[in-house]
Amino acid sequence: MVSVIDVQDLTMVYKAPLREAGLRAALVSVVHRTYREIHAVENISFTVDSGEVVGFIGPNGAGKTTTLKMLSGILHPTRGEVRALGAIPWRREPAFLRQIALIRGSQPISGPGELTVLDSLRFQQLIYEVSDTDFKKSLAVLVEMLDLEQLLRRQIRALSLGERMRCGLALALIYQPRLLFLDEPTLGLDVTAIQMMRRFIATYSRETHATILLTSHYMADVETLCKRIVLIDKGRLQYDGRLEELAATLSSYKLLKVAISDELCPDWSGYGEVVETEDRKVALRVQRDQVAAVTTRLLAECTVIDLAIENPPLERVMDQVYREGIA
Amino acid sequence: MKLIRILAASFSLSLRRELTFRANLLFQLLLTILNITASFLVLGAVYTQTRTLGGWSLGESMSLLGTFQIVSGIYATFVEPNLSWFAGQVRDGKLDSALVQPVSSLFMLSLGKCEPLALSQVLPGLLVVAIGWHNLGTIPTGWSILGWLILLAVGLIIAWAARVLLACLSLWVPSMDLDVLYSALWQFGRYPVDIYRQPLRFCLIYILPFAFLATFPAGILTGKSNPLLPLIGIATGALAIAIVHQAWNISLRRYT
Amino acid sequence: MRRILHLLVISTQREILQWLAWRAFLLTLIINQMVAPLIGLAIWSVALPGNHQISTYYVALLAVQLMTVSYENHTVANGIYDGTFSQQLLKPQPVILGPLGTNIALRVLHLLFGLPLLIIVGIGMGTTWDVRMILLALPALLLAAILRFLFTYLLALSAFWSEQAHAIVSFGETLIFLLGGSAAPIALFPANLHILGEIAPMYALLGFPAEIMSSGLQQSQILSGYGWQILWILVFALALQLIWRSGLRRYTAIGG
Repeated sequence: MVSVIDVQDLTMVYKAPLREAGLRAALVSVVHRTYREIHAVENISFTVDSGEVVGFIGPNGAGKTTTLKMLSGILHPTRGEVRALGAIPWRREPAFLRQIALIRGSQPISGPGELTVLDSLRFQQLIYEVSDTDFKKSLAVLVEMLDLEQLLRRQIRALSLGERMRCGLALALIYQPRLLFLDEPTLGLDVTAIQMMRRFIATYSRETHATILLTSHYMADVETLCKRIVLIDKGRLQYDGRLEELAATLSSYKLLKVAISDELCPDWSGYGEVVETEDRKVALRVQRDQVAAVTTRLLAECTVIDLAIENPPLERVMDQVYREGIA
Repeated sequence: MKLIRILAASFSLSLRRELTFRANLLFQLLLTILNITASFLVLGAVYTQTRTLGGWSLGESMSLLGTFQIVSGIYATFVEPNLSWFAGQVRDGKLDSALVQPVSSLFMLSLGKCEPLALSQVLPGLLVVAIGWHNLGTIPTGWSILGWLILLAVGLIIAWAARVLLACLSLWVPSMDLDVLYSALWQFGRYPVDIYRQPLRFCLIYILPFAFLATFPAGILTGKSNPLLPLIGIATGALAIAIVHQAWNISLRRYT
Repeated sequence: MRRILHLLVISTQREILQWLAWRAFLLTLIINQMVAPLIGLAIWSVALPGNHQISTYYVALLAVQLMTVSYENHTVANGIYDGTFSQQLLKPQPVILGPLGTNIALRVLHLLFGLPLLIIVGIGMGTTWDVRMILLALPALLLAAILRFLFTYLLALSAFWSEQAHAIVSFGETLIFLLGGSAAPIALFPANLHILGEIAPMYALLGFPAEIMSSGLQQSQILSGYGWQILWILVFALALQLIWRSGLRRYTAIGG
């Protein structure tokens, strides 16, 4: 398979002016400025194959958005190489730009707010040179999937955040980009809207085989949508691989949820650390390498009607990663 | 071609948008009328004290004032709505979204938006030019009208170019928001540059050539200027476009 | 009273610091304020060559302009539009203190940064000054500063009712430019407009102190000028009270 994104040793260094508080420092900074170099991204390399949905995660200020901006051609890296769809993004060739979309949850629509949604879609059609037949076809699909029928004639400024996000997606997808950068697409949305967004992204990627790079702080987004994650922290690549494996390597225990039909409950603490018990159900914390042995014992010694082995909640694992790094 | 279609589409979209605010329209017209009346009264007061102002008679000064009004109107319609408070636009990510569009970012950012209602300033401008002619008692020749039109275009190109260069500057130094300064200097175009004292006059002709906004076109129209001026103007305009393209590309590289 | 004065001083100091951080922008504001008087100076010194009094008048006007600038359309009206005004209402102090502090801070900074250019122009234009007249003008300057603040604040409060506060304030500023003695000295107005010019509040808040400074007025004119200033201050203060009350009622009823 051909890789859609190929990143080699990508590095971005900013210079930021520094100033102390107060009048004196303000006056001093008129003549003498001090700068600090900020290494936003350092030596990141990875590749993404066609049709993949990759979660790009890391704490605030890790360099996620900077990387997305370099991949979409907005920023010119200090060092390193990027090929996206075979092009060098920051040359911003129209042929490349027509095939990508950058959608930001913090600002889904950038055009003037007084226009109606349909006006804006038509304008996109003009800019991205979409033929009338293609436009109608994509529009019908998007209206259906994003439930836009009621919104098309409304002014953008009067839309709620959730509606705005749906329209932002429609504006970006009307020209059928092959490569999507989604920067926190579920930011600030309510539960229903988040669900809808996730379903939509999943369906879209399945049906169009578009390659999607997604950042989000909601682990559930990443968990449902991305098989693979790329984790960066302080500008450096920390992990690249399957999400479950990260969770597995990071936490040394698993959660064993057991329900039994015996009248008398056994002494659970003989099997593992009891997290919670209720009637004839129990959740046990068991060392990863002992899960098999404990399970066998349980099945032999009790009448098990339900048994589930779970990883600890992802949010907790990520919290640990962000605070302590990957050991 | 595509650019012209985008321009037309954005004009029609903006018109639809603006027509939703009727009170705005009324107020804008009122302000335009008050402004032009003010300039008219000033000219009237000046010419009761003197017959010529820096070599310009009353009728000539009126043609100049009208020309300035026309240029200002077109500028306010097509150029001004775009690059204002550019550093702020960069902070909000407007620049970013323009950069990922498959159309020249310079075009989209400097001409992509417009305010069709500001075009209403052009009409009183034409009126004032006509009054000026009437006052002069001469009919301009076809050549002088052509020269006037060429220099009007050059003036607009220069105004646009200066605006883009300021935007480029704010990519280098984000704290430099020179919008206010620009519109302040713009006001110097309202009167013949001949009335300003030396360092300022030199600036207005050679450095920030706002003399092209009104003084030079009106000079051609009333037969005061060198008939070769339109040719110099074309060269200056072409140079301005070339410089802007270079500067924009260099600045973007710096931003990105 | 002492507490209020103390609060005002603190607010002014904080605003000065705040604005120093925006000094590049501040500089463009100052230049913007200076343009209209400078253009007036250019026109009139060309129209009336060798008349030093008119140069002196315009340099004085420049100084008055810098010391009486008011931006309440930005500091107050914008706060009403974006809702930050609500926070002002929560503070245990008169609301006017905030804008007043900003106003004083900006005037201090305008004078400070504008002084070099003021001196250059003053020397370059060969102006002559009478110290007694300047002393006589100081109270008029103070009254003009108060009146200008009341005038702009009043217009800015239209933000309670309309989305057009900026346009309304700039309408008022055009009137100040036209009738305040900036476009043309009142003395050079056509005879039938002369009287209107002398009694208008715009003259009281801009041209009057400048004319005293440049020794352009006789004793009786100075006295009646002071009379008009005081009268207008009373009128505007009263109007401000009324508008403030009903505006606030509206604001708290609708919630901005």
